[in-house]
Amino acid sequence: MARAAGPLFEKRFQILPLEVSIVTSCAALDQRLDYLAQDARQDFAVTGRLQVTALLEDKAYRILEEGRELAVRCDPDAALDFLYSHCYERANTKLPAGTVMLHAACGRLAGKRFLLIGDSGTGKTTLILQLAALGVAVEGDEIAVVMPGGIAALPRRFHVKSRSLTELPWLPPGSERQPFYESGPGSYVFAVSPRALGYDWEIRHSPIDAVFYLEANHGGQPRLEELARYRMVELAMQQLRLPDARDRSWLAPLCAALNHATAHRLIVGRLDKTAELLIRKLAA
Amino acid sequence: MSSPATVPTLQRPKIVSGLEINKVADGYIVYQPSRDRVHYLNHTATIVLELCNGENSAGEIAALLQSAYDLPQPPDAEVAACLQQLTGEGLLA
Repeated sequence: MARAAGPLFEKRFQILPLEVSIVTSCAALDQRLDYLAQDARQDFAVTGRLQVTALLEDKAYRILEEGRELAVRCDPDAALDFLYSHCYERANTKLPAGTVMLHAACGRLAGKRFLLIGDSGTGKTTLILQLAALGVAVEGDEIAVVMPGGIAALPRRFHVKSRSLTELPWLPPGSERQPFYESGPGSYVFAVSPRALGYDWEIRHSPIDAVFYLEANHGGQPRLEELARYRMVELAMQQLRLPDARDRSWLAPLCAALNHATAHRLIVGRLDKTAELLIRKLAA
Repeated sequence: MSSPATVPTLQRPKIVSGLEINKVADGYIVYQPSRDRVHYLNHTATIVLELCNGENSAGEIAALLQSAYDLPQPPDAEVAACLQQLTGEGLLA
């Protein structure tokens, strides 16, 4: 069936080695795609390109890659879900062997790159945004890509839960108008670009100098403890997103990456005190 | 705590073949493909494992540690416990 004539919208962005272009004939989907598209500057050579088209035909979204149909979705949210997964899965295939994903926020201060490793709910996103407000350069809030030769934050808008907004009162007005999805009744996740908040957003691919394993004690007193490297590897292993359970080619790069960094356990207490403690440690 | 007598297979323990050993500053991360398991060894266990070359007995390993760390006594019980644990994990033959 021929596509109805009309304007086309395009989103272009980079996910590490992958350059992505998504063209759609639907303004509503184009608006939803703001959730996926991001504007991080990336220290990564492009080695692959993904060109996807999402056409609205007969009230359904037909998603094609180089003319080949990938999927049909019945509403813009479902189309966004598909495109989101497809883009990141395709980017993963362009990463070198021995790559693994780690639940960790990433930033830089005083010439030191650091990771905040932690499970969901430990406060990675709120803490890294609090650090941004205090002058720390931020790279990512959720996923660190551990590769031979270095670590890079997965380029993704920072996902701020609506309940976290009260902890970040300094967020400028309009932050809540960032792209979002409804994660439950009355609950939202906002996809925030650090650049939209006025911060630089540069993702590097280089070694890490300090690693902090986060444990939640929200509202309490924050605390830092030194950790042995082998213990940090053990804890980090619990926060991996494994590409293939039987393939351990990533273990050596992970050990090498963490071995060159100082290792600490960070008990996350009051947000402002925790950020101050972390900055003092990094600046020391 | 076990004694060396409870681990008769460790007369001259030897690290099993096929392990992938990753060194970090204060220990080893050992991947055992045959069981698809990862082991996290502290500094002491790392040294004991290093000395398990099929030539040293448990007593000799304890004596080497006594000499290396200038200990008043050979740490026989600690070495025996460590060897038992490493054997139980399938890292020694």
